[in-house]
Amino acid sequence: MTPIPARQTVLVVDDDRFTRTALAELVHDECNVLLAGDATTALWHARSSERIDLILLDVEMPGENGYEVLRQLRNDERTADIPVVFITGATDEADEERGLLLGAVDYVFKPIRPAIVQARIRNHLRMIAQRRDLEQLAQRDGLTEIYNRRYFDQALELACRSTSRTGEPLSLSLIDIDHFKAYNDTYGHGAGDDVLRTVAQTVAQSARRPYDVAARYGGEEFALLLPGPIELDPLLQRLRMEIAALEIEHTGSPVLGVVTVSIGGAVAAGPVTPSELLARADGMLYEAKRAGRNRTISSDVRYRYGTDGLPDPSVDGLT
Amino acid sequence: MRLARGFIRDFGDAADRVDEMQAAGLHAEIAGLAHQVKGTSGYLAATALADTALALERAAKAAPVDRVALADAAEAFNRELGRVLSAAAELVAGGGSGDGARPQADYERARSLAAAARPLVEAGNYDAVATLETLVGALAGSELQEVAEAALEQFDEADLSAACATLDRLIEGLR
Repeated sequence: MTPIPARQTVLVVDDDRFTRTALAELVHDECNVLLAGDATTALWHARSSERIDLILLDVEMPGENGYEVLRQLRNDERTADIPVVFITGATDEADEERGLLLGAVDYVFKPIRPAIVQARIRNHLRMIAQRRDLEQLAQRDGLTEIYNRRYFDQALELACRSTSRTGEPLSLSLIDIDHFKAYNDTYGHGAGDDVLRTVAQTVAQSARRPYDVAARYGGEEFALLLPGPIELDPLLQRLRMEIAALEIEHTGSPVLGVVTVSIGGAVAAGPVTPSELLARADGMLYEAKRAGRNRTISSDVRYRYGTDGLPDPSVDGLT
Repeated sequence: MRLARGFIRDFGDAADRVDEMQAAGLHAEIAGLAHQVKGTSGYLAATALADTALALERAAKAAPVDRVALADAAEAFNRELGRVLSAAAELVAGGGSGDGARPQADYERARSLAAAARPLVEAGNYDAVATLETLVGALAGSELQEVAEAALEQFDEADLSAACATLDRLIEGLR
């Protein structure tokens, strides 16, 4: 999961150097500022930069104008939500209406009045940050602070669509704390909550890449969604061992006497629906529990057998 | 300071250009230049210059053009422009008195500054300006100062690929 940078990033797009520099000077003490002098560079920035919070976009530019840039931004899911403020020398009311109808959040006339423009940009950035905070809150599980079920469902839907289209591998793992009810019965719900938080943070450490998602799936169950090529079985084994190595006493568990997890993993590389992938991961989790818990079983067959076709003894969870 | 530097670069010779265009009867061009100065002077809070630029633009666009009124407007414009340019030059000179006053180029420092500037320039990150300005100062008096200045100017113009190429040439020269 990518941490959110504290400083916001503003992209300034204007073919006039003076306006570009003036706008950059207005905001660069408080923000990261990226510059573009034309539509092509602006779109490149918007699509390739990690995060752009606001675009200050000149309307009149050689080649594609600001309206065209905004249209292209809105038609690309990577850039569709980036707020745009138009900067223009055209004071015609119809132009202003056109820009706002296209989805610009504001319209600033040149020559700019620095103090006024600075205040307006600040207001926009404050609102953008508040909106982002609210989105973050809506995506997080209140107890464990990792992603919640709602966010996970959306991420799984998008990831399945992507792997169905591209054939890129997608792995989904379900992680269940063994005998968690017994833990709550023995140590109380407060201690149970602590275990959920600790296990959640350990699971989250396995989601290191930008599009990896670790989520609380429900109760004492977690989900790990890992798009792209990955050595799933070794990763899941490591995760299982890390949780056992926390050595959280669990006298109510017949497994090891400490908190352990069972993990079921499924890998898809082609057309798959969220419910199919979930059913496969759930089936693997069921197998892991049935085989005695504290183990991982996945459908990632690449690592279940050595090149000689014999079972690889270094991989646990084989039945 | 950066705006003042840009203003000098763009309009340092504007008074001469107005005189030449007036002599050649290029009224539309005078109106265009006055319009540009009017827009730019807003960023510098140079309201008197903005007013004279507006008056000049109007005089140049009048049909038919009143040559006496145009000459008066041009004179007032040039006078105000001269004031703003002097103030801008003072500002730039004051701002450059730090690193710019180095007696000798500091190549070691320039090497690390150039390396730090390279990814910023490539990304179009405005932080590159401050790094490049310091780099120009670190190379003061050396034959590479002009190269660093060229990279800064290209970045100012948002010509990122040219700025990267110039910076690469500079990094090579510093080896």
